[in-house]
Amino acid sequence: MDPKLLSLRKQLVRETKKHVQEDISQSDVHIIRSVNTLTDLDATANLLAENCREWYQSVFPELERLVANQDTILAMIAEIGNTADFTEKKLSGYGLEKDQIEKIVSQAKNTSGVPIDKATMEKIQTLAKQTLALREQRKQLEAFIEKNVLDKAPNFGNLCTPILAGKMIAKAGSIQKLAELPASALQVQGAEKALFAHLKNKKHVLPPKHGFLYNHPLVQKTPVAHRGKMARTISAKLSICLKVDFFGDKSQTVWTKMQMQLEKRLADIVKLKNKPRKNFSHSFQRADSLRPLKEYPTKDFAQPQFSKPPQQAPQFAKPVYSKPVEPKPDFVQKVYPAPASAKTVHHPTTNSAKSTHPAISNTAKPVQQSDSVPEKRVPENPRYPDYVFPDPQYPDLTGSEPDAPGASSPRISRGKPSFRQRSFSKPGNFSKAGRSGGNFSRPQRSEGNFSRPSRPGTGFSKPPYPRRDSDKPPFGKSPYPRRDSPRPPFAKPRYPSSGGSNPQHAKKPFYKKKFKKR
Amino acid sequence: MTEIFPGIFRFDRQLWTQNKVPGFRVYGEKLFNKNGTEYRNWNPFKSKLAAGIEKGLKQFPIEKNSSVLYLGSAEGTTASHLSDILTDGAIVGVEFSSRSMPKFLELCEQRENMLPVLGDANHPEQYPSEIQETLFDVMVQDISQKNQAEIFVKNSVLLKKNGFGLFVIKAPSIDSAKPAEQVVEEQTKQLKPTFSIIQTVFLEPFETKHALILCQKN
Repeated sequence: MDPKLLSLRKQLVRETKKHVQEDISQSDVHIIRSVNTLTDLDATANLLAENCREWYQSVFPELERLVANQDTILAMIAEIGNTADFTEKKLSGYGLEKDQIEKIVSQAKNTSGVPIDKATMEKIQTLAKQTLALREQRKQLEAFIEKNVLDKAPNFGNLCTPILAGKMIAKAGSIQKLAELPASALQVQGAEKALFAHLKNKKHVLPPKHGFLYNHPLVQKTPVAHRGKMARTISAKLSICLKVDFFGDKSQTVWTKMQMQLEKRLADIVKLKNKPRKNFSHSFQRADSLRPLKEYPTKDFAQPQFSKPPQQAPQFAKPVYSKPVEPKPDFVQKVYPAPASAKTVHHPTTNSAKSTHPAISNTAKPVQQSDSVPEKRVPENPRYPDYVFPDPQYPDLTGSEPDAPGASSPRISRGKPSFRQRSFSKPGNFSKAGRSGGNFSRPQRSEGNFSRPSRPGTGFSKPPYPRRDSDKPPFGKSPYPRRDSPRPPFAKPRYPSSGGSNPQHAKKPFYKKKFKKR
Repeated sequence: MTEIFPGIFRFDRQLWTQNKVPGFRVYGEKLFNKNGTEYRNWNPFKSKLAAGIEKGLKQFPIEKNSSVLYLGSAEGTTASHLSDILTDGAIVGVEFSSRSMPKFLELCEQRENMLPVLGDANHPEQYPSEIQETLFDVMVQDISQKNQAEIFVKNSVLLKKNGFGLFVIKAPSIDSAKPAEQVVEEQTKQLKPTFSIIQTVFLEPFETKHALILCQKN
């Protein structure tokens, strides 16, 4: 359409060709390509080596067990061949000990393999030679990468090993891009999957500590819990080196001093080995490790922690009675003063059946002892001295749903955590497979953390099969005559029981069972 | 064989353009001969404009005699189809990477209406001077950078008044965590002062989280 534009075409083509040539000459394309070929060479050499060794199994299968180094096996295959030629002379040049050589020679005479003809042997031998050539090529390529990296970025290449430096350059695209990155990006470069998993779900997935830097020799030497520290320090120093190399003077050697600083840092970190970690949380799971967390802070469970302090019971006027009331046993009244507040449940009680259970509130209940909150709780069971019976005045503590009115904090503990709390390894507790592989822990809601979630209506989360007295909390017989757990406020009302603990019996009079219709 | 837009044909439920260089494949696409004319298959999985047409673009602004500025032409897969459509016009392809430029240069040497520019679309002032002086009829952009909208608005200086724009948004390169619709809304807000938007098309299933916006310069 525009004749100007069309006439420009040839000129523009020439100019862009020049620009492209300039770009290519300045780029780090050789480092990037050689690093990529290095990984591919490794893979192909391993594949072919496996093929060759598998093929040779038909000739001399025991050789693999006798010689450790795979490359020597390939060399033996390439140079010696059939088992008849396995003599002490020929095995002398591989750096083996005398016992080994004797074993190989003797085993060669007693193989379960079969000698093969020349043509087939040649095929196996060429394969072995090619694999060895690939391995040799890999070594030369490594030396080439080292030379190039140290040429372009000596400080950076020396501080982290040249191959690692090459990988980081290949990932970023050029040394300029690497130099423009902040140190935190360097630390995490290579772990993009874990990083984005964290960015999408910051609450439950921790960020990665290191990407390519995982393979750094100093990071490998630090204990696992403190590798993040080391990776951070190294990346900070690396970013300085990069900037010196790219924006400043390459010939300036900055890395030697930094190497000493890093080694000192390693020594300092190793001393920290026994210190606990800060800001530890159960709800986190690292995206880059699928193992569940093993460490638990046990000291936090010593005391029950209330978000609000327990309220004092309101003081009521003491009623006057015509007859003197029998004093109740001491231990009961100390723990459970008569609950006269509105929170308590009023059960339908008939005049005939008046239960003496202190948890059920009867209106005309004398209060002789003080209504104040007990200062010290009396332990009931000597076997579990830290365990205390649940208190009806504080229904929150029964471990009911955190949404129930009056629920203070979901994490209320009573003394020792039960053995059932360690439920990570149990199959019932794995959630749907997600980024963390399904192995992340939620904040524990119910106290007794059994494999089944607690059903509404049961304030105390019971074990699934409480068949025996020994299973019932607190793992022993309760001192109360009939009941072993208090009733939560929203439970169904109990029927007046005449003797047994089963409320169903109270519905029918006992004689009606024997009465048969005719 | 129906011509749905000038130069774009539909046959056998696929899109085709008339091959300017008969017998030559640009990226391994199918060739089809009918009545002496050769057609090249336009793959919607490889070209975002073809995906937009398949998803129901109502108006295709490129005519046979328009001048097109294509930002982000890469190796020239889409640009070659546009050059097929333009019997009378010209297409200028701006590309930043020197790895894909050699292939584009090959195409430019073959086709008379394709012009290469190796430059950064963030800096239109660094284009060759003759290109800075021209006003294009249509501007197409397919650049995956965080400041895509900014680049589009900057280069709109080179677009004539009431000229059309075809803007491809790649939502993950702007914000990988946000949903694509939200990202597209925010980008359209940036375009609104200079452009009036005619149609937005999401390119599923050909491309995930991509959208094509057809707009006109105010």
